[in-house]
Amino acid sequence: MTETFQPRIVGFLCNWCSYAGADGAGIARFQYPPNVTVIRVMCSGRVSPEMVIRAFREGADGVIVLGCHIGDCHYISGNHRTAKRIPMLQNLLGYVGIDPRRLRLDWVSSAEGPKLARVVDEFVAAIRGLGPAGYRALAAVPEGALQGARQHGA
Amino acid sequence: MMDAGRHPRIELLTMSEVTDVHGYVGNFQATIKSRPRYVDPAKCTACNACTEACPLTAVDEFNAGLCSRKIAYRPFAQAVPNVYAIDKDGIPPCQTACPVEQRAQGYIALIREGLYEDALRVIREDNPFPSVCGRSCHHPCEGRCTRRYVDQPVSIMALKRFVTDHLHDLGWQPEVEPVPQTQEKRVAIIGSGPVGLTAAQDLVRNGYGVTVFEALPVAGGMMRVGIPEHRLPKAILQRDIDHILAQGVDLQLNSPISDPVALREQGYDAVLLATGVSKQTRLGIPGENLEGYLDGVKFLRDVSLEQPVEIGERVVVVGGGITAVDCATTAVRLGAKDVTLLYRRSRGELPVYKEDLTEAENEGVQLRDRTVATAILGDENGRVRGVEAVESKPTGRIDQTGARDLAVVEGTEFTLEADTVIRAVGQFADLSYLAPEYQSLAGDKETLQVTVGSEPALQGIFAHSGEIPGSGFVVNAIALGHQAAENIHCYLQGESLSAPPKTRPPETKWTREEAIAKARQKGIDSKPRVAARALPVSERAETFRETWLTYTEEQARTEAGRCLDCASCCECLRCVWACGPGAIDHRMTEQVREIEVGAVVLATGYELYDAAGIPQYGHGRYPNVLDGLEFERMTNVSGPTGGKILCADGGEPRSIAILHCIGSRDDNHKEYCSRLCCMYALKLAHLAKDFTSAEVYEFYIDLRAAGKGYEEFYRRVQEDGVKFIRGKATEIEPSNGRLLVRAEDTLIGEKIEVPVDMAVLITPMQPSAGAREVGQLVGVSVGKDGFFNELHPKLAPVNTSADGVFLAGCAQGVKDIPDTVAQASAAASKVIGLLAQGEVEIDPVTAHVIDERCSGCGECVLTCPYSAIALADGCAEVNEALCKGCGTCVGACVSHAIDVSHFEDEQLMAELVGMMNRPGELVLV
Amino acid sequence: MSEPRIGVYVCHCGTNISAKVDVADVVAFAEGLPGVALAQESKYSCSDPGQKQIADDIAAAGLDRVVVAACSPRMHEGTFQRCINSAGLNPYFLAMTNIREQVAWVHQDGSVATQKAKDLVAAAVQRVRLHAPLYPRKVAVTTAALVVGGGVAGIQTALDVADAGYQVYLVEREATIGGRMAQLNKTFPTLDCST
Repeated sequence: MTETFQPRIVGFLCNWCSYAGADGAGIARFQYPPNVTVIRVMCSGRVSPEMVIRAFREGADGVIVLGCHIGDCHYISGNHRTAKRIPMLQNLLGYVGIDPRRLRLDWVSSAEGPKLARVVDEFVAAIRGLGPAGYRALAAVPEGALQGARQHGA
Repeated sequence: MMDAGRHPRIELLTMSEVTDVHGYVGNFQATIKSRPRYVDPAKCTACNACTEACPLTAVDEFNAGLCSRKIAYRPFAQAVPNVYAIDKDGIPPCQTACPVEQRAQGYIALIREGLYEDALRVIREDNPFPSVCGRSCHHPCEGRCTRRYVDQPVSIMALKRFVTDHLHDLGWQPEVEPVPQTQEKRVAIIGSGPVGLTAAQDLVRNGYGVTVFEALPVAGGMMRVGIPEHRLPKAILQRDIDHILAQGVDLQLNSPISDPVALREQGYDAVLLATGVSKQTRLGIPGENLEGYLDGVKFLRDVSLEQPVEIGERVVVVGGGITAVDCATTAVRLGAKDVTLLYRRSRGELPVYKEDLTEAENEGVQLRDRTVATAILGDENGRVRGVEAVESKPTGRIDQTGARDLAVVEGTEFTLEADTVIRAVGQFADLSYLAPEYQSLAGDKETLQVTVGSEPALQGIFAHSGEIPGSGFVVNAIALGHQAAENIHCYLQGESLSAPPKTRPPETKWTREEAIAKARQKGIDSKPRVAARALPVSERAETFRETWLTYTEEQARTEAGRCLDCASCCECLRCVWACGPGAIDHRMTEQVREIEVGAVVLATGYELYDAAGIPQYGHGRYPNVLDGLEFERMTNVSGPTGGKILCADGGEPRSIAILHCIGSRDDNHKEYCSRLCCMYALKLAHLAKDFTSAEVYEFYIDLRAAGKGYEEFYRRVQEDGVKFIRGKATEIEPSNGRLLVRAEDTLIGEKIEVPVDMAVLITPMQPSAGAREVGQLVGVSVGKDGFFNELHPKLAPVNTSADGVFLAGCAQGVKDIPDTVAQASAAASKVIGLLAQGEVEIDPVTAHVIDERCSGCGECVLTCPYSAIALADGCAEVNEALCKGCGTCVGACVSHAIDVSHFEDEQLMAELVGMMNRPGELVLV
Repeated sequence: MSEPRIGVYVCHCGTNISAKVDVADVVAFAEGLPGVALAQESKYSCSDPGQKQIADDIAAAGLDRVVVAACSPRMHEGTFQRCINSAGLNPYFLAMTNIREQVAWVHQDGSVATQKAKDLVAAAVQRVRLHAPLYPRKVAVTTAALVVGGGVAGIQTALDVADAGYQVYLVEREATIGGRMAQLNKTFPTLDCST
């Protein structure tokens, strides 16, 4: 146990689908690695590029954003924004020195407890493979550096 | 059903769909779009007269497509509201293409049905000159006919002519009585051409007294003296004119009028100048004053009026329209031996129909296209001796009028010998009849420049001002006549002339692919139009017998059968005539209304999974393989077989197999158990036993009879003698005229084959088409089977994740009628509970703008799924009533100028800091 | 801003949480977090005694913010909001964190689960410090209902709501209401007429 690297991962989960899906995984007692700590947001569209960067700066080795499947968003089209914004942010992460593979976006519905467990499993394994991130000392991202991600994603 | 229809507080919005929903719990605004019914519910007495009158049929969806119903229909006898409806897929293109919106699809349908008198009646509704338009219309309808995509357009004009001729030949006389004059006012019309007589008829029908003044000794204007006898016999024109006059129009022949204002003083309240375009354009080349050089319009008029006309043996006609062709063919009939048509453009650009040109050439007329006349040559006596001409070619440019620019080809000049030259190159208004004081009204090209009411002295004087586009076409002139009559009617009633255009349904539009597919679906083979017959050329020379012959009855009905009925309803108006209370209005349009409600219930129900999608059972291929609903409809006395269970050959089945779980509990189709089909299948077995003496087999996987009284019903069906075979039927195969059902009987562990006469497939229920889209409007999602997600399966089965939106019935999941009713009442109690509160609390978790940071870029406005953000004075502003607090705008704002309460950037960052910085691990940046 | 006084309640949920999470250890950890005035274990925080404990502490210890580490906020956030509101606090001074569905029930290793619970409690404490009072607005309800679909379900709903005295708009796609039911001849199990 002590031999293995235990990554710290921040999960941003939308309240209506993915957070409910995580609750569902718990109710069904699906076991998954404890490395993800969850911040509940009302909609995955709430997740701004700064929040993702901040998570890395606070020591996260990976960030995972989970929302409703396209078409099922509780807020009609909030996740359409997520679907554009997060891939755009992945493209830009390299420019600020963060490996884009450390950010993952996926869709988990409230009925998909098993999927949630699988996605977490996969992501923890992937981050473990990448090793510690060490962005805690990352310099503050200059204002405006991430505007592209917001504009294109929004 | 009846109770809902009568309830004072329930407003039924049938043929309607919800297209948009805004707002929030307690305060929703819904947009409802209602398709037109074409029947006024307030007037309809459900007497069935429209259905009896309707000549067209459609597939009867109510009877599961097993039979047909009329286009004017009521789905079933107990329908609520008990109001008929008409299936109309817009206005057919033949009708919209026509300047008078002639209901071509209507009279074609009636010809097909042999209802000729009604066909003529519907033609006359919009067109007082059916005999004329059946012969010399430029028929834009045919150019737009949907059938053109399949092979050739329907021969619409020829069909119109057939009706008029056929009824005339039968000696049928329409019953026409003078329309009583109900208005005090009187109208004078100058000119008895198509404009004048159309306006006259319309005004008489509106109850006015109308007098038509005609300068010539005959009525009909250019129709009479401009179209030669061999294209439009005078006697036939007279039929139409007589019909108009019989309605009470007063016609004064030999009555030239030069002072329209004087007519006003004689007691006419309005005067219409309808003197048309009777003057021939000059060519503007040397020699136009020679003897033997004729004005084509005057030439045709003189021939029509049997005035002496002298032409030589060699005739040249300059021009290329239908008037030029008429001049040429008339010259042939007057004995000319050598007739040449000079046309400056190419043959393909000649604006006449190919058939007419071909027949003229058959008569000996020679066309010289791409030829421009440059001078008329005369002899020493001042008589025409020939035409000097030159060949032309297009320059490749487009001139000011939009036509292709032409240039002469140098060195191609030649001379054509001729005794007579006739010009026929375009017509314009002849205002020379007006007294000198009115000549100032004439503008360029002598068009009238009168604008109604522009001068007090000209009050009540009407004329078409400006150039008349395409006025040479009879049907355009008729349209002008209708317009003039309507303007005069408005004027006399003191109404505005600039009333908004009347709304009407959109045009029916089929693509080529759709047209071909529909034709195939209707079993229509490609078949060219029935060609009209022409009089043999030998019988034409020196006679004025009509060139084109009419269709025989058989030909007409064959040709009418080519119509694709592309608009469903054909607007034959038989329903309108049959409807006593006058409830039918074919001009109804889609209505959109906004309603305000506090709660929404989704009760969008189910539809049956299509058995044809599971090919091994042969539904749709083998005639006696039915789905449950089809079988059910047969057992109904009002159904397609009048309450008899019959095979396709009409015989009673001796054995019936009922196959459970076809498409349900099947990974390839629907994974779920459709739950009530076991009981439904048992009911069908019971009905089968009740209605027939057939042997009935039930092939089942296992029987699920978990409901109150269900087990007892199962037992009752067993006692009926139904044979139960435990094992899912795997396929159906036709065998010796019967059906072989294959299955594995899992009780005996053997494969079995059961021959039956009829097989009924029990297919699962699935969510209605379109339910998902309605759900999206109110923010309710669907699960993997497509049914709406309830908020909680046990704790909140009728609530949804959208506050104020509830679920009832099969929209939420498959259920039987008792469960549906129970759930519906549960949803109702939730609604009542909400409405009874009188007020709701609005979640304060909403977005708010930090004004000093907002740059007014509008990104949040575009992002907001609820249109809750707007820009005001260059700064975003959140409507908190509409905002649902999703925070998508916050994620999008570049300037951190918007935040959402309780999920503020700072709060979420603090959460992040808290969870990531374990004591002892803290590393300071 | 004066230093907040936060109360942290870590729930056993019977043994649902405490079987995996060392609740006492989490409480001890919470006591050391900035702004935490008191931290308590709670056998069943959602039960009457559990809620009473929180309400009493608000009054006695002058708490102005509350963190409840228990089940999913989707389950009981409303319960605890009402609880602190009854004790005079704005309901939005609550932060709830989920150590049951997303910790105790999904992780085998007790020490790891306890560490994750601590992380989440720390997060909630940090968050609640920045909470602000919010006030729901009351809005009048339009006393009419829209029923989409005129089959059995729609008709029954419409009749019940209308009978209660409210206006109902019953929207149906077809020319008649009745839906599928109207096509049925007899209905089981009683074989009566459907219309």
